[in-house]
Formats: sequence, C-alpha cells, structure tokens
Amino acid sequence: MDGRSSSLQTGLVAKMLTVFEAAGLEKKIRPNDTVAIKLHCGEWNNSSYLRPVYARALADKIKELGGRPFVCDTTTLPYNPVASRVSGLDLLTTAERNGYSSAVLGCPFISADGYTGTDDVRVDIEDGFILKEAYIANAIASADVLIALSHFKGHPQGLVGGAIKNLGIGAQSKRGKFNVHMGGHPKYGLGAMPFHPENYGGKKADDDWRSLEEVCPYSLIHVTDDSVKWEREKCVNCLACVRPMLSRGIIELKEEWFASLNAAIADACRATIETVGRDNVGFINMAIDISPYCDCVNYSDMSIVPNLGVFAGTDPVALDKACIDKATEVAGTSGSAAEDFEVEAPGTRKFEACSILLSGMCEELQINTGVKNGLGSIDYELIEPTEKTAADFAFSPDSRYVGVRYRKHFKKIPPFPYELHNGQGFARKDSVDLESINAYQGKNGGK
Amino acid sequence: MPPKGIQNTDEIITCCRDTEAILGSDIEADWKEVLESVVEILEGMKAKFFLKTNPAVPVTNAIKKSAASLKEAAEAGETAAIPSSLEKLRADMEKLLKAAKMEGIIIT
Repeated sequence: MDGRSSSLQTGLVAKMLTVFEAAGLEKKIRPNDTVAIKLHCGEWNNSSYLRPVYARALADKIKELGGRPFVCDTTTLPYNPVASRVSGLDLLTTAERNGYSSAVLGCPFISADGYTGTDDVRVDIEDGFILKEAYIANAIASADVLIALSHFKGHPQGLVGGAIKNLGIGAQSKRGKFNVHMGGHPKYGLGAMPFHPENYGGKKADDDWRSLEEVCPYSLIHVTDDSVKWEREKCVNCLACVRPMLSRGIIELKEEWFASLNAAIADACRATIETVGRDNVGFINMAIDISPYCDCVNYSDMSIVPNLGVFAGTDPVALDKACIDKATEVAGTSGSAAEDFEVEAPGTRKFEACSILLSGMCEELQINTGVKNGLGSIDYELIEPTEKTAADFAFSPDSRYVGVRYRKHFKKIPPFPYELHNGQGFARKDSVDLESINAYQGKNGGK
Repeated sequence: MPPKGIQNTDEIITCCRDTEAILGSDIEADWKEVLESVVEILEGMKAKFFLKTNPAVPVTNAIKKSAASLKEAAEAGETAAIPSSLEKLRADMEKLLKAAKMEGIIIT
C-alpha cells in the first residue's frame, strides 16, 4: 500500500495492520504463541526510526489473536566512538528515550541477546554464501513466531537497510554481529584493509591523539611520537575506530569490505529464519522517512525519496527488492542527498549514491546473495489489499461514537459554560475584520 | 574509472593551473598564492581515503564549479571578478577540509 494517508483507514498504522492481515501473517499466530516483534529502536538522537505506535498497534493485534508479543532489538558492536546500544543497559536506556518501553508498547521491550550480547544460539549454515555459522539472539531463536517490523531506508555500510538487514544484523547477537561484520577475517576484516601509518604524524602532530587510542575497546591502537601502531591482526571489526582512522588517512576501505558484510547479512538472515522456522516468520517493511543512513547513526538526514508505502510478505528478498525498485522508480527529494549526488531523476538508483561511503557499490548486494543462498526470490507481485473500513481503526478502548461516550460525562462536568454571556459561554467581540488577516504580508512585513 | 571525488579533484587541479597560466604576468601575488595552495592541498589529499568516498562528491562538485567560474573570468579578462571568485574558491576549500575530518560521521 502506498505511503499516502487521507482517512482513518488509509493512515500508516491502519495500512500496516491491513497488509499484516492481507499477507497472511496473522494466520501464523496461534493462541499462547510467544511472538517476537523485531525492530530497530534507533540510536541515541536518531529521529527517523519507526515511531513506537507501529509496534504498539501490532502488539495489540497479536494479543487480540491470542499471542504473547514482546518487542525486541539486540545489543550492537561499538560501531562509533559514542555508541549508545552496546550493552543491554545502554540498549534499554536508548530504547526508552526513543519511546520503546513496556508502558508504551503494552508488552515488554527486551534485549534479545542479553546484557553483554552473548545470550545466543549458535547454528550451522549449510551452503551459506560466505558464512558457515551464525549466532542468533536467544529471545528471537526461542520465539514461536517472529515478525520483522522493518524500517526500510539507506545504510552506510549495507547500502540499504530493510527486511534482510533487520534479521541479518538485527537478529544476531553481539557475537553474531562480529561474525557478520567479518571480525578477524584475514581477507575481509577491517584489520586486512590497507594501513597507512605513514599518513599520520603521531603525538607530535595531533593534539587529539588520545581519542584515537580511546576508541578501541581492545586497546589495539598505540599512538607513537610520530606515527601509530595497530595490532590489526587482532582487530575484531567493532568499527569504533573507523571514522577516526579514516579521517586521519590511516586506513582505507576496499569494496570487498562492504560486499562481504552484505553477503554475510543475507546468510545470517537465512539462518535466523531457519532457526525460527520458515512458516513462523513474517515481514513488514515500512518504507517511510527514508533517510540515506540507517537508524543506527546518531542523526537522521531528510528523506531522499518520498514515503514509498507499507509492504508485507514472507520473502524478505522479494520485499526488499520491491522497495528498492519503488525507490528507483520515483523522483528523489529536492534539497536532499539525492540532489547532492545528482540522483533526483526518476529511474536512478538512490541508495548506492547517497547512503554508501564508497562509490561503485551495488545496492542489491544483499538481495543478490539472498537469491544465491536460497533466502528468497526477486520475483514478486505487488498485490493491493482491499482497504478496510474507518470503523476498523476507531479508538479501540471504546469505539462508540463520541456523542454516546461523552453525553453523561459532559452533563456531570459541563466543559462549556452555557450559563454565561447569554448562553454564548465566553466574552468575545460581535464582529471583526477577518479579511485583513487573510492576506500575505511578504518578508519583514513587505518593508 | 576513478571515484568521482578523485575525478573532480583532478579537474580542479587542472582548472587552477590553467587559470594561473591564462593570467600569466597579470596574476597578483595573493591570487597566485591561493591557486597554488589549492593545488598543493588537493595533491596531498589524493593520497588519503576521503576523496574516494561519496561524502567527497558534493564538496568537490562545489569547488569544481568555483574553479570553473574563476577560469571563465580569467579567460574573459574580467580581472575585477577574480577576487570574489577566489574568495568563493577559498571558502569551498575550507568546507572540503572540514568535511574531510568526518567529524561525527558514523560508519556502521
């Protein structure tokens, strides 16, 4: 369904519930099933992550169907010098600040991989493209049903963040994320990228040299008087140092660093689905507020394309492909990164220009891997569900008309003072010149 | 094909050198200083990673535009327009240097 709204039944919450039902996802939920709603709760100061109302409405629906929902996200790698979701404590603190709490959701919000990020289930991956194993967050692996409620948008390293990434990264424990990010890999890990200590002048040339040492949780970076030493063979790819190292010209990133991660994301997504059971997993893509970067960064740029709509299905490859195709099809947003990178025209690929750090990458890396590893198919058909009625989305605690609901209340505590000013209620002028304010004045009053 | 940021940088360097040559003996010392400093900074940055990234594209696009209008002014003999064009070039270079620090950028 498209991203426009003009009535109760075409609101985005209503559309999410409509596609949930139309895609057959509600049939997956049996009485007493534990249902994990996996979403991205947003990094500290990110503002384009999914508003909690979507998860709340979905959780209410699942409860109505007899299921026991919980909303979850997982702990992350450090990712950046001031990361906010690295431990279970940080994750819940950030999630609450972003509105994800049991009070808002009507069900628990949990860190699916525990406090440190090692509460997980190790699974073998048969015929993975690059991964041979994955570490799935325990709460997700243990759930009877998994609904991936994904915010479709761009991503700095993944190019696109949609259904595949929501599980390929988001359902992996911290241990699993090290695996997917190629930590310790001799060819694709960060430690294997070109290292240029000769570009860095060390303590003598950099007043801020301490910050370079302080970003590494494993203390592998040592600044010397005139350069830097890095125990890169031990680098776990936590990414905390990437920006500080790149901006100083100390490391370079190669295409395979990006491509290998994206391939691993698709493998880990498949592992997650197989662990929960293919018949027990459903996907909803909310293609709205399409920032070029992920919800895992501490800021949100304006959308590079307009809201594309709300999609649901059981194949994450098909779903992400449909969203990418829609983004390609439409015109980019004027004044956004789409304009900066000259991809405003309909028919141009937006994410590989706007969201990625390195040029020359393809925004369908995850999708292509997903086809190769059997995760899903790029063949899709968009079926427009029948619109539901306004009554289906009325105020659910009491869906009677307000006249019926408030007649007794307003009689008991009258909010309108009929008894004053000859029954008019308030002191006001009889008539004023409204024409005089219904006119434009120009900048600074036209002076 | 080299990344767009590097392509832009090469074009800016060429443009600045062309402008210096076009102005020849008419060039003023402070104009020459700005043009040579732009070339020197960009040559130095080419060895680092930033110019290979997408964030380098919009900022180098802006410098390329400024350098081109400076060259046009030199070609047309409009020396009166040169100081303001040089100021625009210098300001755009500062934006590039700021962007290259990648302050607060997150790469997950």
